[in-house]
Amino acid sequence: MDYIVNGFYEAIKLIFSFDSELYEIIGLSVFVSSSAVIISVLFSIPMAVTLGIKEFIGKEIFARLMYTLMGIPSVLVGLLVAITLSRRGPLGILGLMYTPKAMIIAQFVLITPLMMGLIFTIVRKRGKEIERAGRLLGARNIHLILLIIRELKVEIMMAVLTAFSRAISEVGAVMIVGGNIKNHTRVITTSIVMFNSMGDYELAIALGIILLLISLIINSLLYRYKEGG
Amino acid sequence: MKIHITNLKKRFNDKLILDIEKIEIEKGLQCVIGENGCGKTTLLNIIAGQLHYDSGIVDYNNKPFSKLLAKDITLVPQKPYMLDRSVYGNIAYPLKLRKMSKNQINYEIDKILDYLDLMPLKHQKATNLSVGETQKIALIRAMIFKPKLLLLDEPTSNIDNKAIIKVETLIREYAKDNTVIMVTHSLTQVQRLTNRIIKL
Repeated sequence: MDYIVNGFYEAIKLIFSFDSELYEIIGLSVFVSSSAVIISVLFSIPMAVTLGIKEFIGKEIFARLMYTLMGIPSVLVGLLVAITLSRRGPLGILGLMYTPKAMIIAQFVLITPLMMGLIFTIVRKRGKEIERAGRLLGARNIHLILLIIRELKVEIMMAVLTAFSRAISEVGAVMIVGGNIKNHTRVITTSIVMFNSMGDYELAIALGIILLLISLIINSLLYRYKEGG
Repeated sequence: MKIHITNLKKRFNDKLILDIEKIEIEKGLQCVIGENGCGKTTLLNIIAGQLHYDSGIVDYNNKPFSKLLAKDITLVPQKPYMLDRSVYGNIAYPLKLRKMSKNQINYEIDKILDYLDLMPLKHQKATNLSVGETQKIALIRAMIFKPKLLLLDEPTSNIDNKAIIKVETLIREYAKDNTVIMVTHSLTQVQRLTNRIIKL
């Protein structure tokens, strides 16, 4: 039992000693997940809003497909991205495998259906009445999309934060496409797996605490946003 | 704007809701009256271009409905949707879409809010208003960008008697230069407002 207590004690010491390796890992994690979320936001929000209010053939099938992809296992995404980016793969020429860019791509693929699915659902539910109100006041095309985004900003923000939460806490995809290379592609989750297998519990627990803190901050933001509007 | 409706039919689930042989609507104010479920709201939605109809013709100045025409038409529903922003933000929205200057927007909004004694509501969140206040703000928001055709679905149903007179005056004034079609259940209100009645 001592090693657990000791692990926690050493972990807290590590956090406050501002260990460079620890903070490099945290920095890369936040950078990779934030980049994936920002790129996904630019794609998912306009797409989900447009598809949510438009009526088109196959909308139900599209919705079901997206809901299925919302829960796609991260190792499967990692595998698919790895196959695409590996030297023999269709995008192998880009030489992205085992780089932070590959990790961003993998997380983008992982969280985009989740973000789109959440926004698509709320737009399907509430988008029509907002669209109607906007049209009656003279809004068209881009103004209608912007109006819906603004009216549903709380729900959209929650979807974005949920996606960030999923991105920063996943391990499968970044492990496969990043390779957990020291000072290059090592992030919080892959480090926890590695330090645990090495029996280095202090660093694993320290990173676990940091991950938990990040989750706490995100959930606090979600709660505040939801309550405050 | 002149509206010509000929042989208009609308069904919901095989039930004939609307069957109009001929209606001609000229500039000014006309009231639509009729029993519950006779298709008054459906008619307004069709004229506003919000609802498809099964057969017939609806012409606006002898032209069919188009996106260009839609800019000059608006409808205030029985339960209007308030945008999640202040009363000022709600009323300013259609004016901002039409690229009106900020000074002009402020002037127009202050003028109309002042007339209806609604200045204290100016910076309140529109989604927190009472039903009657919502109706008044929705009416102002629709009138402020001066659509040539204004469709009102029971716009005073939740407004107190004192304010109704002012709202009616506002509607009557507006109808001097535009076409206003108003659904109402109050025959005394019809008598006060117009002698042009569409009975469904």
